[in-house]
Amino acid sequence: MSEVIQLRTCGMFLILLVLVYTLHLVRSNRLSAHLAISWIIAELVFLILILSDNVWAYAKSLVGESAVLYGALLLGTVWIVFLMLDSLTRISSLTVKLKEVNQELALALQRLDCLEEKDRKGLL
Amino acid sequence: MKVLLIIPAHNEAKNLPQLIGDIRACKIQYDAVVVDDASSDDTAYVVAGLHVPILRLAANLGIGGAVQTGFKYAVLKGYDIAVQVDGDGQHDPTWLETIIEPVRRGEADCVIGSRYTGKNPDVDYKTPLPRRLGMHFSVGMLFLATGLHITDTTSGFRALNRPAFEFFARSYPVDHPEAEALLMLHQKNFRILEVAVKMRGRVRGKSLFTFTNAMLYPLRVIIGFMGLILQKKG
Repeated sequence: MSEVIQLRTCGMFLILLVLVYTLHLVRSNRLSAHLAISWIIAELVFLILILSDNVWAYAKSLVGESAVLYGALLLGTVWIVFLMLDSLTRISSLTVKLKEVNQELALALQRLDCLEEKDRKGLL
Repeated sequence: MKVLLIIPAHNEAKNLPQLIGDIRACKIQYDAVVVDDASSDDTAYVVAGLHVPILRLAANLGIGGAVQTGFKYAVLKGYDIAVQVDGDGQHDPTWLETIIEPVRRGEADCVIGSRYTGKNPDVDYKTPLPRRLGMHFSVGMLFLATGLHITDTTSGFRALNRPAFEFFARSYPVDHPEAEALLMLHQKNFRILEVAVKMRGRVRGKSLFTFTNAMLYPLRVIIGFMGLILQKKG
């Protein structure tokens, strides 16, 4: 078995593992499907690229076997970095929203305390 | 002019009674609000017993988020001046008028109570070495970024007029926000002034400014400043 086939098999299993784990996280409600969708699409694209002999052969005929491997590795890394930045953006946005909700809740509770105090004193 | 003292507190049940007592002992009576930053001790219970309004945060937001909640409260309640007074009791209320007066007279939009200002440094206050190094770093960074020479960038003992705290109610940095907040004010052309004050050492409880935090502080300052400088003006 050539080195390339070994690498493809190994890559395929790794991506399948990540895909199954992503789906498990979604199914167990630990990861929102909305947030996971870009990751699932990326994992499926990688899987198709690895499994598709036509794409592989076409790429090899264009740039050669070793360049295809390096190119795939580089593209994969860039893609993952992009997805991570996208996830960090979502986390930052949610953190800001959570902070605002927390602050508004504290202000609302204080107003409620005031109203209850007035109610106790019969001022309402 | 209506003045509000904003007291951020995280696990300060032991320090707050003394602080509130000192505030009430001042010649001028001030309104105060305690922002309980999701304390795990009896802070909320103690504050209720002291009959001071309390803003209870459901999750810990850190000093920045807590102080910003106080600014939002000051905006809602129509205050003219907001003063940050740390819940650990290090900020001596006898100096309140010293930092409020320049704001009241319209000489500055933000007045910082400084331990190190050249005219009258607080020689009694012993700053731990890691904190001192971090502060010198932020002093240098602020000077490079703005040309402002502020001697006590980490002091949270600050008075702000309404436009300044309205601005902070909309946007305020997180974690150790003091130095970044000064850069934000400078970017919006608010006038900043330092006045000499004396501060007390923490009597009870632990400071959040641990050795690890002190080591990471320069990195936080650099990242915070970069973020503010790179932000679109708006």
